[in-house]
Parts: sequence; structure tokens; C-alpha cells
Amino acid sequence: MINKILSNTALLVVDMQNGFLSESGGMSKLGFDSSLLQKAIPGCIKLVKVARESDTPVIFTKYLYEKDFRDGGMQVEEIFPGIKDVALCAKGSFDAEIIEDLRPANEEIIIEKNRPSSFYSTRLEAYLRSQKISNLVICGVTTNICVETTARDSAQRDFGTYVVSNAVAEVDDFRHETSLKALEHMFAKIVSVEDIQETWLKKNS
Amino acid sequence: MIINNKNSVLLVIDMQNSFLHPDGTMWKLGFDCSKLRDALPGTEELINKARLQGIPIIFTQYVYQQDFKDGGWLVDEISPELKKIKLCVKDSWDADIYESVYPQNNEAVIEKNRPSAFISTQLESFLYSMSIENIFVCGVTANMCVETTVRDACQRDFRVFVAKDAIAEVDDDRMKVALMAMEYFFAKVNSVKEILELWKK
Repeated sequence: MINKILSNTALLVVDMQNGFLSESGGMSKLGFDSSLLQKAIPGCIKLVKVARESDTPVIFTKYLYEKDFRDGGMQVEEIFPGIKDVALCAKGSFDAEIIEDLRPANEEIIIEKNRPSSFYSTRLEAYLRSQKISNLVICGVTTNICVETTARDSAQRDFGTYVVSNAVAEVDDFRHETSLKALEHMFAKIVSVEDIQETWLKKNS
Repeated sequence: MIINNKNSVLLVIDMQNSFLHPDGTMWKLGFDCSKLRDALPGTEELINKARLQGIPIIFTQYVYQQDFKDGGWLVDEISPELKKIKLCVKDSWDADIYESVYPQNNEAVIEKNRPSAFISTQLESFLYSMSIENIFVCGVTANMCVETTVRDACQRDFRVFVAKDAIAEVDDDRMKVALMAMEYFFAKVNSVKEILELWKK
């Protein structure tokens, strides 16, 4: 099955930003343990490296709100107002930047989004269709929210959807594990960093 | 937050024979589908009260073409057994809505072939044309079609209320995390009783 991702495939790196991963980021200020989310970093680094080495396009997403959060909608206004209080991923801030270790290369695409799904109200789908990309390998944070919402959307739009279990992370272990179960149940193939490395390195041989 | 019968709708997700009736196809997959029937009493009560108070009801119906050519990645690669058991085939008894929660003539039924009731359906234009702000959600299954729909509704800035005792799932862990995830970032999670109180005001 995994040979299907030898071509027409992109790596999607979801929200690997200081806001989620830095000890001084917005999520930490909200009281979450950013070290749990940092677990996704080594896997993401390996995936980006092997993608670049095998000429697989890398696409980054960035969770980004206007400074005054007027684009936050229901989630910021009513469900999770704390986001505004700590200015999580506000435009132009340190919080919003992708972490140093995963800095996108010049030609790599960055998709800005202000909702959990990387597909909703973004240019991701048009980009993928225009590039004839039909499979997505997904890594990043957080498993149960932005990764899962994105993977659900990807699968429902009939992209081959592969979620890399040891390159995604969540602030709550139970939600992390069960999220992967839910994705596996109806939306995605669950793979490992090692599976992907092995597959993509074949491209060079 | 204003809730009235002009700006609110009850969305009843996939309450079909396939999932709820012991002869339904979903029951052939080895899951404990009897758990899904836990959603019935709450859903029945919400439907009855919504009708009495003039709150519009929209039903969704999971429907595949007979040959499943509209199944896509989900059917072809993730759950090929859906095709084998002929889950929710168009115009079949399996796809029909369960008797005790059956739509009345004037109530909308939205057909869908993906977990989300928003993807490739008329739901969104329906909601906008009715000027809906609040969506009250019940149905099955909690972690799949209900949660996917709720994630989509909230991201579109509808105010979403999930009736926690009028949704159900075949797996207890997935039920628990569905409620946690929805409450964390996508919806207000309430009991049927609390929702009926909101409707009274």
C-alpha cells in the first residue's frame, strides 16, 4: 500500500509553530505542557529531510490570527477565548513563526489558516489539485485537533491520507491515542516515520 | 446568544436502519451496534419538542450508489467492507431513516456520501438561506459522522450544541474522546434536558 506514495505525494507539516512548541509560546501560557507537543519535532525533522532528499514537495501550514482576532469566529469568541488572551499565533509574532528546526526552504509552500482544518478557507486544495498531488503524508500538531481535522478533510476529498503516528503529538495522551484510532477507523492509513523514510529513499535507488 | 425558532435548527445525523436496526448492515461488521440505540430516546425527544416549538429539523442520510463508485478513498482503501455489506445503498431499506425518528413531509433530508454533512451537500446553503446561527446536533455515530459534521459546522462559525445523550458510538473510548474533542474546540456539549431548557427561553 505504501508504494502508492512514491509519486504524486506531498508531505504536509501542520502547525509546527512556536505558539505550540515553545516553552514561551501561547499554548504554554494557557497551561498546556509544550514538552508533550515537542515529541513531534524529531519525526517531523526526519520527514522533512527525507522529503527534500527524495524530491517530495513539502507544504507547511501555519495557524495564524489577525492581531485583534477578529477572524477568530466562534472558536475564539465562544469556545476558547483564552486563545485571544494569550494572543496565540497572532500575525507577525514569535508565536506564529515555524520553529527554527523546521524552517521552510525558499521554494516550499506555506499555507496560512485560521481554522483547524488546513483545507477550510485556504488555498491548499487548489494547490494540490493544480500540482496533481493525490496523496498527503501528514505530520505535526496537535493530533486530535488540527492534524485530525485536516486528515478528515483530506480523506473526504479523496486524497490518499497517511498520518505519521510518531511525528504527531497532542497535549493529552488519551486524546492522542484515540485520535489515531478514529483516523484509522475511517480516514487514514497510520504509518511511521521509518515506513516513510524507507519508501521515499527507494525513489533515489 | 439568541436562540429562537428562526435562527436555530435541529440536525439529526444518520439515524438510519443500517446503524440502528438489528437487521441493519452496520450490525454485520462485528461492532456492538446496540450501543448506537442509546441515541434513540434523546433524539426522539428532541425531534418531538422541536416540532412543538417550530424549530426546523434537518435530517442527514448516509447514501452510497449501488456500485459504490462514489465511495472514494474511504470505501476503496480504508473500509472496503462497507461495499461488501452494501452499507446504506441508495433507495434501500438499510439507507432509510429509522421509524421512530422518521422525517415529516415538510422536513428536509440531506443526502451525503462522506462523514461530514457539509462536504458536497446542500446543507450549508440551506443553513445560510434560513439565516441559521445555532445548530443543535444529535445522531450517530458520535466519533465519525457527528464529530466530522460538528468540526465543519464550528469552523464555519455556526454555534453548535451537541446533545451528549442523543449521540452514540460503538466504541467507548472513541465516544469519550469525541465528546472531549468537541467540547475542547468545536461545540457546547449539553444534555437533552439542558437543550430543552434553552429552547424554552
